[in-house]
Amino acid sequence: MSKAIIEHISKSFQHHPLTLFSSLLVLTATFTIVAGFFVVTHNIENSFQSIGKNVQLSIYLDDSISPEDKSKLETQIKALEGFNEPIFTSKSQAAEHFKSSMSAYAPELLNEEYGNPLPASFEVALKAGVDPEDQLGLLKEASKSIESLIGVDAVSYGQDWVENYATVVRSFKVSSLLLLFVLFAGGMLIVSNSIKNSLEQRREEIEILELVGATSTEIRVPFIVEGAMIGVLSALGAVAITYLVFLSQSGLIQKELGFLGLGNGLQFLSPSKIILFSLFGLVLGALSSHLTVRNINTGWAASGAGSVNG
Amino acid sequence: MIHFSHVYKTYSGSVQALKNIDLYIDKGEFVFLTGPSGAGKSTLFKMISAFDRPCSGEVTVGEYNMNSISSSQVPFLRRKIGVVYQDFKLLKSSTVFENIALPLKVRGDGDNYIRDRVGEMLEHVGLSFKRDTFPQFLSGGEQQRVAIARALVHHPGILIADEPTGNLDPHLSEEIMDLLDKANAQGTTVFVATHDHEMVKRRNKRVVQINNGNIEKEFGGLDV
Repeated sequence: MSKAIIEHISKSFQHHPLTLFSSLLVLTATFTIVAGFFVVTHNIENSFQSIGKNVQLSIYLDDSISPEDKSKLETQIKALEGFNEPIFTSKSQAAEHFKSSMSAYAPELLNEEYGNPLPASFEVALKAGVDPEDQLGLLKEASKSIESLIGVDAVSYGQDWVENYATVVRSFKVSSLLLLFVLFAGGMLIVSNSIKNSLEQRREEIEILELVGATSTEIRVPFIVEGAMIGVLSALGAVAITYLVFLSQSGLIQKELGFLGLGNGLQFLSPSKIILFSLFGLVLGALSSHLTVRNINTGWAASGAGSVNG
Repeated sequence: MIHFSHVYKTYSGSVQALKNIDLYIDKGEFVFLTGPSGAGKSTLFKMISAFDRPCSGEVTVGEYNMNSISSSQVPFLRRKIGVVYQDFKLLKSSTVFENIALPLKVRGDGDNYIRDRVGEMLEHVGLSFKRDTFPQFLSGGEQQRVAIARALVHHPGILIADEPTGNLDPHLSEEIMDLLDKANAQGTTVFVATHDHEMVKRRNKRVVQINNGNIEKEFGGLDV
């Protein structure tokens, strides 16, 4: 960083500490909401992922399927993209599972004199890491390609449940983006106001710099760097505050909301996400400063625009 | 060096600040611009330092034609001009040394050169002992001397001074004019706007008298 920029920033801190401090405070508060929001969305997405692990395709077979057709079908299931290896359950295994889970309630069911009505099936689960939003599409596509094959009686993936689940995931993502946009715009306004104050307080200094021949870049860059610094410091402050809140509350949340699939524990932002978040603060600060200072020292251009031929 | 040819300037609201100005100032001249408030003196100076431009007519400053100069060239023109104002326009948060060094810093000169050159200028204006003082602790005359040192530190070809003695008593005004005379003696073209007719009479220089945006009278120093 050049000497002029360091001097500019240190003078800002010396001469306008209140303006800078209030900007830092308000922006840190805004960023804390954003960081908290990121932590919450990150954990909700994790919870969605763990719920999504239970999503699987059940392919029920005709009782009359020949061993060749069954083998052919298995090969085709194995070729499905995004799915794990299929697990085969024979008629008798299905009956055993059913008996063991239902015997206490209805021991007469599956009485051998009525035969075994349960079909053999292949169960095939989605691979880990498939985006919850893509799960429905994959299941629908796989179901369509399998159900018309020889020896397939029916294909099921709990259509209604999966569709509702996909809608929830989609709505959550859209509302997250909207909220993020609102917070981003608010953050830009805060930095921009702070830089405007700084500009007003330094109007005379800018005029003097113009007078002695400073270029637009020489005048603007220190303000942009100042904005970037406000942004990055606020982002780091927000991460620190959010982390403290996370530490103090995660145990309680895990206990109370364990049913949401938070079995592996709540997670804070990863180091790479913290770096990204700081960069986000830096870019937001620099961008809003740039937008604020782009029209300063336009005495020359303005005189042309406002002149009247005489 | 400075040439105004049929220059008009009208501000919004049909205020005619300059009307058909024809003026030529040669290299190394010392010229006084006199006239009442609102006569157009400041508009003329703003055009020389590229803070304003004419509505019609042509203004040339050194090698720069102000009708065709681009925004990016303006700072480089200003680096060849020194400007002094009645209200000094010093950076309050910077010391005397830092104020005088500003044009050199902007130009990108090295620290050693800046230290030596600012030292010379401080001696020239008699303020070496105030180098680390902030402007608010200086008298009006001292502040104006700092402003003159800042205007001359980068060896400009032209020095324009808009009412440089407007806030000063007669004794300090003479001191300031002596400094401007010295700069002129070293080859700098000096153009000074002033209300002070007595001082103009004493200095025996070329005088351009402006009123209502027109040049009313122009006469050489010996005719005053």
